[in-house]
Amino acid sequence: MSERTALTLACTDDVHLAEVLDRAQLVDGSRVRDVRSSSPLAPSLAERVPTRIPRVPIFAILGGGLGGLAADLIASLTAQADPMITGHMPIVAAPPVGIITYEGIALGAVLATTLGVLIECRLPSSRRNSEVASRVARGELVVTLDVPANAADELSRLAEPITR
Amino acid sequence: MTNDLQERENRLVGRLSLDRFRPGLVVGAGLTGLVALVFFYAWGIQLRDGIGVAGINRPVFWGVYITTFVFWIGISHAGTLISAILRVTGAEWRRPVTRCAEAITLFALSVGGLFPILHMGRAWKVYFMLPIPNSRGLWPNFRSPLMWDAAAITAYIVGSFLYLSLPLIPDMAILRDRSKGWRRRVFGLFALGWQGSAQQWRSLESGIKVMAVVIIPLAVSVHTIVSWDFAMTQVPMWTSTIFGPYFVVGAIYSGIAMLMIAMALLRWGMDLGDYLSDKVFNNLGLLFCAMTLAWGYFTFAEHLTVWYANEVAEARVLWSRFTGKWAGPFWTMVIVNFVIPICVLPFRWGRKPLPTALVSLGVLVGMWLERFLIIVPSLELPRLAYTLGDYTPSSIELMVLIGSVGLFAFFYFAFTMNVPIISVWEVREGWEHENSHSGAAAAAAAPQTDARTPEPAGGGS
Repeated sequence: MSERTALTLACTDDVHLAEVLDRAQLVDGSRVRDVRSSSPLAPSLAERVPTRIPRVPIFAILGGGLGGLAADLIASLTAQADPMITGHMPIVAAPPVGIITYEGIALGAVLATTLGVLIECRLPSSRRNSEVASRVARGELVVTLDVPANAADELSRLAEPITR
Repeated sequence: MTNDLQERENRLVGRLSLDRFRPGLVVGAGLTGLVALVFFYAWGIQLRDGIGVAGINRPVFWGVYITTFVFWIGISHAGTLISAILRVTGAEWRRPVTRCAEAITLFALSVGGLFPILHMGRAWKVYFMLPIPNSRGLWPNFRSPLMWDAAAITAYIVGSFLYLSLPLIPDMAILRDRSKGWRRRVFGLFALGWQGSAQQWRSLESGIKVMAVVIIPLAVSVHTIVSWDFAMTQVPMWTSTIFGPYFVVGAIYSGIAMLMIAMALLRWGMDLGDYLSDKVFNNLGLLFCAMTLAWGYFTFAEHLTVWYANEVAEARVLWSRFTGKWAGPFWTMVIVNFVIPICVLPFRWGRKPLPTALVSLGVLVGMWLERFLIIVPSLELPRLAYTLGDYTPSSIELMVLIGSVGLFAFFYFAFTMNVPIISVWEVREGWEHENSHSGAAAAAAAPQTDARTPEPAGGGS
């Protein structure tokens, strides 16, 4: 089994990145680890970078369920704690409880979505490569490839290497 | 291509002027901060002397405070709702607009949310609204629409804050990597260690989409519930089944007006004409025009049915608006909310920054009057005639009203001074889309041209 190395290259634009990815694809055993950019990648490029399907919608659904349950309990148990007769309504009246539950679902979903994004993005994080960050801030696309060591030199000629 | 994009991004970040002294913003923040002090001064007097210093009294127990509360909650629909709708529908021109709109929501809610507390008089008793075990033996009544309000506004303010904050993370990272010293540390703190990896972008975009979908029904519910504060009572001209959609339409209408004014000021004050372009004003102006028609339709329907039914108590309120004590404010409202916008906005020249800003100013005044006219005449002329009343706003109430405008504007100036008021990464993404579309179009056109015409000698032009 040949020795492998992580190669980080700075590409100037989408076309340049596509060239690097095309070339890397031809090298046996090479793999794209990540691409860093200051704005989302174009869909044609994004699909060439391995990423997980975000589980954010699942977080939202679970959060909505929990929020709704909590709101439902708050509204109905509070009414039972202070059983006051109002306007011919039952003590636990379904429409008002439904409204509070609806707001609880929304609040829970929003909070859980935020939590989901932070977890999926692994934020907050203290890990940061300042060289890569400054390249990204300059608008470059920084691709990290996992390649056999003997192919690294050839690929390095395609774009400026940052770290090896 | 990247160089060109980068140059455009640098220009945008430069215009947003976060790292240099911008006298206009500082003066604006200073002046509006002074006006905001009027709010706290008046509130302080009320806390010292009691709620009696406000003009509200039986039977007009809701006056300027609740009017202004409804007004600010309405304004809050500018941002998050409009931004979410534009995101969900994939409107490309939304990109420079979303953040300045979302900031309006957050600050309008923050200011509006103070009014029920102010209206309570004894503001320190606000915790009575929380359902916590207590020695008083009192619990909030969740069957009251006022508690629905508390729940809805809490959810909306949290949602709006998060919806504004999530897309801010990559911009904070851009600023972190471009700045030095203490600014770098501060921006770095808010960037949360964002690196711009493909996974992060994918997760963030997924989160923003989910949030947009959740926020739209939430925003609609907020102003619907505010309308139910009125519609659930037997007060003349409040018991109306169309109040929910009527209030939502009015909220979006006033929200767009505030957004138009904010955009016009940002465009002139920060030289953002390249981003908050005529096209953006034109598109938003079309939406504004549609909301004018919708508001006019609801207002007409609301008044027509009351006039036709001619029920005694409601007719009394109706005619006090048409020809009585409140005719002046009522017809002013009709002119600034409907007649002027409908004479200006359908035309392309009317959807330029200056005309839309002027129309918007009128609409804001008109929408405040609308809320005032919904509340005060109905309370002055209740069904039981022995409690007839008269209401004139006190100086304290007017100071609070003016101060609240200052407070809102101060928040907005302060935000603009410290945070990119235009989403840098979203605008850049839009440029990239433009480039890829124009590139694809050129690529599609090129072979046809080549096939038909041989390449001229020397490459040609």
